[in-house]
This record gives sequence, structure tokens and C-alpha cells, in this order.
Amino acid sequence: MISSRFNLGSALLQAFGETFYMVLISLIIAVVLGTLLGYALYATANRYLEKRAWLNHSLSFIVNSIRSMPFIILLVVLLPLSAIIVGTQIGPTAVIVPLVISSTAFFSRLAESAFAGVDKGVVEYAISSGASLWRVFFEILLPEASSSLISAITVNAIALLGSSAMAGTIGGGGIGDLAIRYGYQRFQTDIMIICVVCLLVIVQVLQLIGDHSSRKANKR
Amino acid sequence: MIEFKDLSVHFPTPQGVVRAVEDVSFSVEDGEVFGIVGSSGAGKSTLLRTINGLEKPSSGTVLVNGKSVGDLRSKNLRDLRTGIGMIFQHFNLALGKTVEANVAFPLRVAGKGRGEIRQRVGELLKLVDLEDKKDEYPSRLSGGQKQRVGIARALANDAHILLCDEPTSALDPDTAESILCLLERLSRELHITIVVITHELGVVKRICDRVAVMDRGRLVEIGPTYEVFTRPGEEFTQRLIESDEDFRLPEHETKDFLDRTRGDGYSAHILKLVYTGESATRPILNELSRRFPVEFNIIHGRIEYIQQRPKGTLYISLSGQNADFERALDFISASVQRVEQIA
Repeated sequence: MISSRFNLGSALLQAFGETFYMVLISLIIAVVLGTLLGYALYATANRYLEKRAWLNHSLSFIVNSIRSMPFIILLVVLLPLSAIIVGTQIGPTAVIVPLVISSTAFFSRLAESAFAGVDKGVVEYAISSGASLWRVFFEILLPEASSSLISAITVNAIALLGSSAMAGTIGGGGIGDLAIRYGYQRFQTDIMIICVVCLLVIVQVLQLIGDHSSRKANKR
Repeated sequence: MIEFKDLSVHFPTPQGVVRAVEDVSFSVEDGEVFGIVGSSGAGKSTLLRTINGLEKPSSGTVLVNGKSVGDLRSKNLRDLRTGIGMIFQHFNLALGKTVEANVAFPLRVAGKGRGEIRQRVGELLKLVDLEDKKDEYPSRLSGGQKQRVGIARALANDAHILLCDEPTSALDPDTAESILCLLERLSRELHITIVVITHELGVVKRICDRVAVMDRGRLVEIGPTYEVFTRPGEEFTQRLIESDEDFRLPEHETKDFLDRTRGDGYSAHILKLVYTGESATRPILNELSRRFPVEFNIIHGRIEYIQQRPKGTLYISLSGQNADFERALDFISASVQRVEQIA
């Protein structure tokens, strides 16, 4: 017990680092790609923007397909892709590839609905003033939807934290992995409790920051 | 100049094709204030949006200064749009931007420099009398103020055409009046062409030089506002004007009067007189009572001003011996613009 307690500090620290690394990198990439994909979904269905039914249906089909796959399966299926993109099939870096793909699909829906929540009249006005699609995106939709987008980022970050717990399957590490390997498989209940409390605190803090930022961004 | 030539706009829906605009041809002259009226679903809104290409013609053409809007693509279409301002019933301001940023947006679209934008925004806010609201967010403004921001924004790039989609329908009467005053002033001072669509006939009477009446996608009637409102050529226009007058004769009153006065050799009717121009100021009833042994009573009357010219509407009951009644009626018919026998 003494030796395991001795290791616990550094093990936790390392697990923290791995979780932080996986979640943050995936979140940044997924939010950027997902927002663009969300805009593509939104714009191809809006008659004042770039209505194209076939493109909208194709994108929608792809997003649904990714989202219908349980993450643990996606993780394994995408291992070859990880090898191509980041050059490895194990460790936190390898996990980032499936994390990004799954959460880009997730975030694109969140972003799409955040854009749908923007008054259509404002978009109509922007187009009537001669604005291009990109200007409508950057100067109208993003600022007008900022509050909902921040809430969406919070939801996505917490979902990523959950998914990252499965990273252990391919040796990705992280807090969830620590809880499974020590807390569950080795019956070290204290480690389990510490990990759960850590996750709980992280989620609460994320939610608090998210709610606060979202409120601040709301000018309505 | 804006010209519609055999314009039709159709929308395919699961329930079948909606013919929002059907075979419409007319033109709007430079510098005029032009109204388009009709009940909801008449296609006004779609027609208005063909002018800046928000809606595409299914057939026919829309020419703005000689250019066919439906044929313009991307950059050319965007350039056309920067020269055409548009204001909306619900203002459509960006809620996350200050008044200043809202007005600056179209200037950024037009690629203006920072210094120029700042100066122009100042001028525009002065024009609509909102200089002190520069840093406010739209949620802190009243409806009238929001619409004035909308107008400032619409005129930012020296628009030569201003499209107004129900500009006062979401405003209380006083505020609506102030917005109409502003539009009138802009038309006079900046010589821009203004096209207004509305279901409120009061707006048209107040500011429009000419008016087009639409019903179910088709153009019913077009003409100078005063002419259309005093001498409507179509039954639909007539009904539209009447429904706006919002005066209904209580039925029991009419029946009472007619039962009481009608008899052998004795005529009694309720008449609606419409008089215009100089006849509006002529003392017709005074003459009527002096020259004919008939009895009359005023039931309801009003004079309104359309484009600063008077239009009077008078409901009277008239009774007398058959022969006297006929002569009196002839006299009235000859003196006023129109007589209608209501009962």
C-alpha cells in the first residue's frame, strides 16, 4: 500500500497531464472544424445563403454516420488512420485522431443549432447589404451566436473528458484510465475515489467557466 | 428606375407550386415614393425581394437601372446590393453589436477604411438623430430608435433605392408617424427612390406618390395614390379601402330608420358620399336643404388627407317625396365624386 500511495502523486499528475493534453488539443481542433462544418450544414439549408439540398443531405449523412458509432468502436476502427496522420497507434496522441473526428461531428450539430438560433432576419439583412458568405459567417453569425457557441464548447469539452476515459484501451492514459486500471482492476478504492472526485471537480469548474462566459457574451 | 417585366416567382412546395408573384409588369420611377399594398400572402414581400435579388424570378425580368437582377451573380449581385438599402418590420439589427457597429457593418461590406467608416457613421447617426445612442446595444433601444438605426444602416453606402418591408407595422402610431416623417424627409432631401410594402393603407396615403394594389400574386391596379384611393377602378381595391375605413353602420339603426320613414310615395335611403378636391370644401348639404324639400341626417363623416389633398366620406340618411328624393339624389350625384346607396 505504501509503495502504491507513493506512486499515486506522480501517477495522478501524469494522468492529469495526459487528460488535459488529449481534451484540449481535440477540443481546439474539433471546435474549429465543427464550427465550419456546422456553418456548411446551416448555409446549405438556408435559402438566402447557399441552399443546396444534395450537399446538405450528404454532409448530414456523414455527420450522422460518425455520431452513430460508439466511441470505443470508432477508437479501434480509426487506429490505422491515426498511424497515417500522427504516426503512432498508441498513446494520447493516437487517441486525439478519433477524439477529433467524433467530436467534430458532435460539435457541428451543436454549432448548426447555435446558428439556427440566430434571428433569420439579421442574416437576411446581412445578405441584402451585399455581404459575402464569409463575412456573414465571421461578422454576423459568430458574434450573434457567441453565447450559444460557448455553451456548446462547454458541453463538448465535458463530452470529450468522458470519451478520453476510453483512451486506456489503446494505452492513451489519462484520469479515466487510471481509475479503471488501479481503482477497478486492482481494487484500490481510494484511487477510484480520488479519480472520480478529480473528474467531478473538473466538470464542475468547466461548467462554471462556460456558464459565466456564455452569460457575458449574451448582449440580448 | 426599377422595371418589372412579366415577372413571375413560383415556389415549389410539397403541397404544390405557390405562385407568389404572377405575371407582374410595371415600373417605379427614380425619386418617387412607391407603395405596394395588399393583404398578407398577396406576394408583396416576394416582389420587393426580387429588386435586390433575395428572390429570383421564375420567369420575366426585374431591371434595376437597366441591369437584369436575376442574371447577376456573386460579386456583381453583391455590388448591386450595396447600392440598395433595406429596412424591415422587425428591424433585424445585430443584437450583439452596438448601434455604431451595426451602422458600420454595411460600410465594412463596401470595403471602406477605418477612418472613413467612423466619420460616415457619425454623419448617419446625426441624420437619424441618434448620436447619443452610439454605444448602446439594440436591446436598450425603443422600437422607433431601432428602426432609425435600420434606416441609417440602409443608407450607409449612399443607397439610391430604399426598400421598406412593413416599416411601421411593429410600431405604435406616434412612433410610426415619426418614421414616416423621416422617410418623407429622406426622399425629399436625398432624392432616393423608396419602395414601401405594407398592409397599412395609412402609410401609403401618408407618403406614397403612387401605389400598386396586389392580390394573390397579381397586380390589380396601379396609379397615383390620390386617384386610386378616391377613384378605385377595381372592386378589390374598393373593398380594401372600405375595410380600412373601419366604419360599419349598425344594422338595427338602419332598419329602424327605413321602417319609420318609408311609405306610400315616400323614399328613404342611406347614402355614402365620397367627395374629393374642391367639392370637399363646397357646402353641398347646405344647398341640399335650401333647394329641396327633403330631410337628411348626418350619420357619420370624415375628411382625410391623401398626399395633402382632401377626401371626404359622408354617410347620410335622406328621405322625402319620391319626386323630391329623385331630384335631390340627382343634385348630390352631380356635386360629389361618388354616391353609393348603402340601404
